[in-house]
Amino acid sequence: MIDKTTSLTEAAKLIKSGATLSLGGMNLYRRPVALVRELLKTEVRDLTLLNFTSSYESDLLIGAGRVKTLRTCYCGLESFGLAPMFTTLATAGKLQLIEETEASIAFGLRATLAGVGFMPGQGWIGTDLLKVRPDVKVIDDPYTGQPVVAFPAQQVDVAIIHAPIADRFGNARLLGNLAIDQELSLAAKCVIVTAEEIVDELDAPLEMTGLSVTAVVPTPRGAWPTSCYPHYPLDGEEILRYIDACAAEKFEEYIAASTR
Amino acid sequence: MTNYSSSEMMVVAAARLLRDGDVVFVGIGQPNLACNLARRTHAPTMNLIYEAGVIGAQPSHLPLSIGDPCLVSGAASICSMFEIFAYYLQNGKIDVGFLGGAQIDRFGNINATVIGPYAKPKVRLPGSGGAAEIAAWANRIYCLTPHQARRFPEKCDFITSAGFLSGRKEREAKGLRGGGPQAVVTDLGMLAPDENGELILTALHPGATVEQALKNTGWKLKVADDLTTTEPPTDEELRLLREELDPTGIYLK
Repeated sequence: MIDKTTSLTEAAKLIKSGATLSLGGMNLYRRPVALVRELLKTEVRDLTLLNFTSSYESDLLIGAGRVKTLRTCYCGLESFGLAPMFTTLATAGKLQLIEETEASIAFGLRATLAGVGFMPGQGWIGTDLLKVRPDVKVIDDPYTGQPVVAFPAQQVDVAIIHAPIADRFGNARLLGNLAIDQELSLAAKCVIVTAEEIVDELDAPLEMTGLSVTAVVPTPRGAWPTSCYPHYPLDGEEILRYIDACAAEKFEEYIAASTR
Repeated sequence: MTNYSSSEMMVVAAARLLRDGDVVFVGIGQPNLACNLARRTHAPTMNLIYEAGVIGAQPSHLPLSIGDPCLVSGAASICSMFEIFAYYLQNGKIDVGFLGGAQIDRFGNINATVIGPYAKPKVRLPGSGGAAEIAAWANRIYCLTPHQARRFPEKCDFITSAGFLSGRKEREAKGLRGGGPQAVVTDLGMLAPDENGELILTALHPGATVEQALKNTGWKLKVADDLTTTEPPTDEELRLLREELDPTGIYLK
């Protein structure tokens, strides 16, 4: 197997302007914040973010004007409230939004993994989601005749997944909440794993095999201020500091200080 | 009797809706408190499934985030979000879903997407999360929300999650398998669907009046013939909430 370890700077070069990027983890856990900060030092823009849920890590990219389109089912800071830059820019119509739900993303990735164009489900029937996503078709189940929603396959160029432990080859353990990281690690064309700790070689059980991993980056505290079980909990103080900075219109200063 | 706050009354009223043995899809915030209160009182065998993929969670304290490690330790199983939605929720294994939203309308439809027109929003909201699917598939949906007219419009600006749509008949015709909204707990009392799926006032918390409920609802709220008064929180319920579940008062002011 090939040693795939590299640096944050080199890994960030795998993300090109205009790419569809997925940030692993969910809400405020195991988000690849360190690599997002590295990305903010580059000129990458016009990204499509395809996130299961979006939170602090995405708000940084959105606020910095790097995101053209956001496909997600949730952008917020959980108990801490609204994601400030997303809320401001989306309300002002300055961010293109594609409505998703947890099932449309999870099912769409499964369709990609199955090599088919869609995966059926029933979730959106009766809602206005279908009105704002005319590309999503409702079809008749060929066996029961019942209407089902044909959730389209989701295509991802680059996925960044932060793991508590990985090896040189990209095998990784997630040791807790999985979000959709296993699916992402197989569906994305390019997968970057940042990890708290890199060891020579991991054995089973693994939650992610290195099979489709492109790059592995040793990144201690790489998810901070989001949590990375069992290494560190969510740093709520930092989330509050971010919210306060945005409220004081000091987003630029916040970013400058945190990417120094 | 001990003094209690309106948010404590809401959480206690919501906890009492839960049944022992329920499999509950839990979010963060007040519903989480209600579930953990029920688990420590009348529903010890309730199974808590957290929206990050954790099944059978036994949190020692209240999580601020669904990724909180306290949800992972001691849990029965951890699975991917696809498995949660496809194998558990869509497969009818979830009894209860708690949903929030900026607006809940007369037929229990919920808006978590946008206030104002979709193309030109007054405020963009965080979005559905898994709510659209939970509303469709969980057997019973409960909501916890402050009783304010702007939160209870005649019709939602955007239907993120289906309640009864235009009435029970439409929900049924659309083939949505879950039972839809069963109760909305507010700081004034409780709304529940009538035979048509319209939310009507079925209970008032102690001290609240019908006039307050009417004034703070955006449609002409009907009052149930058998309107009841909620039993105030017991000393034990308050002790659990204040000393064990939310000792620093994050969710209960």
